[in-house]
Amino acid sequence: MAEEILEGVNPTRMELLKLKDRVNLATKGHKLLKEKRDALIMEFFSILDRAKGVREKVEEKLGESFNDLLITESVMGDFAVKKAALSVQESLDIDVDTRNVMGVTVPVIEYENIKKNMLQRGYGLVDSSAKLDETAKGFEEAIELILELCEVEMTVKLLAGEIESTKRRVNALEHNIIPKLEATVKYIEMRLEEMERENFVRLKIIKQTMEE
Amino acid sequence: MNHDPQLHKSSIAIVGDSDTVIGFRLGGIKETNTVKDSEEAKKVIKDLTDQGFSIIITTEKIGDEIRDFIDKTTKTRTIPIIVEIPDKTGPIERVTDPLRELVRRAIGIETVK
Repeated sequence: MAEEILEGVNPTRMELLKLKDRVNLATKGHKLLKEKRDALIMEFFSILDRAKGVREKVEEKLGESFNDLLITESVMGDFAVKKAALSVQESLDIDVDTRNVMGVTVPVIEYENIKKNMLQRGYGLVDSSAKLDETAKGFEEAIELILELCEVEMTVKLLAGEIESTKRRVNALEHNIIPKLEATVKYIEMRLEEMERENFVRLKIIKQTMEE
Repeated sequence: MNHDPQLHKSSIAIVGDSDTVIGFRLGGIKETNTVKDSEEAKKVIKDLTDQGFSIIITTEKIGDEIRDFIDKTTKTRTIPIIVEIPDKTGPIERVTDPLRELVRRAIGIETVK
């Protein structure tokens, strides 16, 4: 197979040295990127273990909570539920930080005070049904799960993107750039040797003609 | 001290239909936005992003309608995180699990989940 070589290179010694440096650099880079890719994939699998089932849990919890909400609405009336909902105090304390995984920034969500007791919720206890408390509790738990889901899904998404681009670069180096560079080095070496032989022959002929 | 302005304010907002909004309001989220259609949702999400909300919860239905917009918003940065949850009608059945598709693209193999 005739391998492709870089275009526009002059077969000179100077060029040869430069190219050899480039091959070295590319090989080193290739090795590093491969290591990065492997580390990312390992991280990816560990987060995948966490991601398993989180979405299902959220879906299940939300389904239950919406059911509860429906029942509460039919017990207390739409309007009363809306009123209660509007008077719920916000006490969520959410902190979104970022963590660095092999150069990828992934979110880390910390939270406090999502679950509250009845008194902290802020609606009147006299005119509300017990089902309302259950509904609120259900949604508080759902929010907690959703935050977990946020973190995990976002991390998976970001890592997947990074793995993809790293893989592409590794493959480009491995299958395209490095072979091309090596082929060019070989071409220049052969060309230089050929020129040397030509020169040798030329000298011989000159010597012959001078002797005659 | 973090100097990234995006990370200063950490709060959570919800964009969805009125039932979803009431539910989450009961759960204790104050920043709730009831939207009627996807155009409005787009506008609200953009506003919330500009205000620096770090987590935006929306429903799967809205998410599907404005998929391009969400991808554009979340592609280049970590914050805001836009998460889609099922509404009161339950989760949308999907042919391919988006997470699984992502894994397949990244690793190149199917993982059994």
